[in-house]
Amino acid sequence: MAFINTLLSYGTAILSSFAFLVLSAIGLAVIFGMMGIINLAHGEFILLGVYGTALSYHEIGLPLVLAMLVGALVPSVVGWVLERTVIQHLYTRPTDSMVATWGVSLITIEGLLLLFGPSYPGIQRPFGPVRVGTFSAPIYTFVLMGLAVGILLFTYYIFMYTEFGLRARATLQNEEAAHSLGVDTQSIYTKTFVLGSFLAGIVGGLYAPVISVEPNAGSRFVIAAFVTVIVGGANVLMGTFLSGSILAVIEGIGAQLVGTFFGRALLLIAAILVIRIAPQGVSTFIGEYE
Amino acid sequence: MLDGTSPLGTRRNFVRSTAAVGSALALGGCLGGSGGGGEDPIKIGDLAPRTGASSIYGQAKYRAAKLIVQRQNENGGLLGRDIELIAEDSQSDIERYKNLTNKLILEDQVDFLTGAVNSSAREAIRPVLAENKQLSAYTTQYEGGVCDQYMFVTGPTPDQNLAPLIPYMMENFGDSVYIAAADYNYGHVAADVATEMIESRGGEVVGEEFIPLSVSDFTSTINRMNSEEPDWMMHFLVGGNHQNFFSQQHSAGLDLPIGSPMAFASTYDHLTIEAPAMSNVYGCSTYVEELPGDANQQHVEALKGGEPEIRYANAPHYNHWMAYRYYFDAVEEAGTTDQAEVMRVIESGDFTVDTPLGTTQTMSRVHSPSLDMYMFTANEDHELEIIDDFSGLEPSTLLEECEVGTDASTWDDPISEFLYD
Repeated sequence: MAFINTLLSYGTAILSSFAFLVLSAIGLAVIFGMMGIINLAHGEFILLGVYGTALSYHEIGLPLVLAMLVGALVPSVVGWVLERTVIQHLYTRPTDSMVATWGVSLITIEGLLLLFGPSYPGIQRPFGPVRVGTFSAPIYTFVLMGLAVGILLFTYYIFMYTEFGLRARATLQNEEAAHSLGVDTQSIYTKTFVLGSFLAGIVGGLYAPVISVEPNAGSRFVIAAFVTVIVGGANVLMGTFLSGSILAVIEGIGAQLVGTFFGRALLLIAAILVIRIAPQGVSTFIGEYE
Repeated sequence: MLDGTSPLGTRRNFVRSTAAVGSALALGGCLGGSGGGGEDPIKIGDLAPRTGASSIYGQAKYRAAKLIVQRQNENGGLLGRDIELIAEDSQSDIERYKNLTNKLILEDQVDFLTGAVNSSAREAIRPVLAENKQLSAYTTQYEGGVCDQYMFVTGPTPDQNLAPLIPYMMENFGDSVYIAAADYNYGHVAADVATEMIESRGGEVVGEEFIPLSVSDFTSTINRMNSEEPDWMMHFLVGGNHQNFFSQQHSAGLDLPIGSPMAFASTYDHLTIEAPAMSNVYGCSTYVEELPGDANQQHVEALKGGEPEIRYANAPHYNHWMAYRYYFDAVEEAGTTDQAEVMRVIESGDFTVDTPLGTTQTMSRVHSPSLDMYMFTANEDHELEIIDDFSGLEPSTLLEECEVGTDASTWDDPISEFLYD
């Protein structure tokens, strides 16, 4: 019994870390990993999803799933406007993109503070707890874990098996050649950026019942996202899955064994080691895809 | 990246640019103060963070400062002079706190300075205050131990909020306790003080964990509490990320009574977290909006009626209000804004002022008031219920160990220390 309890404790610690790392990273994997935009506003994109969800849940009274979808549309629209006005000029200037998106992040944080104050009502996690002996955990943690894998597969499918995906990969690999072959590269850039923003928004919706809804909540996602994508490396989607898995096991075991702080420290140390040993991230170990 | 020349390859540039942005940020934010015409106004500097991680405390403090200064000015100011509130947003950023403290003292030459929220911010600016002999107030419930000639405190120490709370929790729920605390000076000292109180009453701390302020996932902490099976939990978690703990423990099915000096009163969790997640949480503070009485009702209305809009009249606002009350009344009594003279009134040992509740509060010799405290919890619908109240609790540890307010500490030969160093 004690053994099962221990196993379950480690299991949930790892699963919840995995879900958080992968879901934080997924939108950034597209925008930073593929498009090269150092999007420091990634956390705030997710946060807009959180606010969109919480607002439509509390103010309009939508059911939670619908509220999450509406929430995801908020950063998609913001992403589209941003791409058209700011980002499209910055594809060849990654460091400038960092400054610009950092500005967007600050404006978003303070804007939300002005509009909704330092704390907005949250949403209770659906489904309640699961209990085995003295062990108990929110069922929602397992739902998030499943959705993390699902959303990764969905993104992989879009980029590998649809015509948009083919054109997007062509554009991002060699814009000039793609353009001369008749691909509307500008539209591809816009669509890809909006897709990344939409993924961030979905994640915001999913985390709206988990985090406290406050203007600084975005910062917790952005670090996890960059660490996961950078450790993931060149093969963006597979890399995100792999690095999410490896880092989650390390963080989960560390957190359960010693404490939350230790788990976080181990994760960052592991990230540094991986980047030192394999500068192209853990993708090095699986080879690049075609 | 698909072609192998990824933006990931420019990691070094990325790091360099990040550093540049960081230092640009540190240099920013020095605005000039405004000068008064005619007879010079009395200047008060306020650092309450209206943005950043501590804005939930800082906005309410800022609102309280604006209201009480406006009221005082409408009633003729102080000593016939206007009061000028120089409110600088410290943005919850320690470096900014320090820079702004220097600016308020050296450039604006304020007569009184307040507004630090976190203990880490207070300890960062306390040396600057001492060096410049700046009269100041710290207005947050805290870990205790500030013994400083130049600073008085209006928030409760552990002798005032833990001393009622811990015995209540032990009597009603049991002797074995798990402590989860924020990983900075407040959390560590508060956990030590609580451990001592629990053990001196025959209880046992079966687990203790310090959690970084950036963490918002408590899965492993909750797992550990599940396997340690304590009777109740002592909660010293702080700030926006940690606020998440209450809803998480509920959805994880941790049915453990939780004692917290911060819950409800500071962060109004019963309004922002869906019921009934807070119904197993017990708080203790100087103030909650729900306290009965007409005086409080009018006060809450006035406070919520202005800018910036605030959702709840919390304890941080109340403690901040009281600091201004002490300062105004002490200036009137001293008949001067001379900071040493004003402090002499405050530390006289029986200096009493009115509270917005229609009661009075007395500042003790050690620059920390004796306080009326309230204990409360939320019902299944998250309506707050006052379960007990205590009047005139003394800051006992300070009274034993701190020598400010005696001949051992004078304005020119001061004690300026933190007892738990």
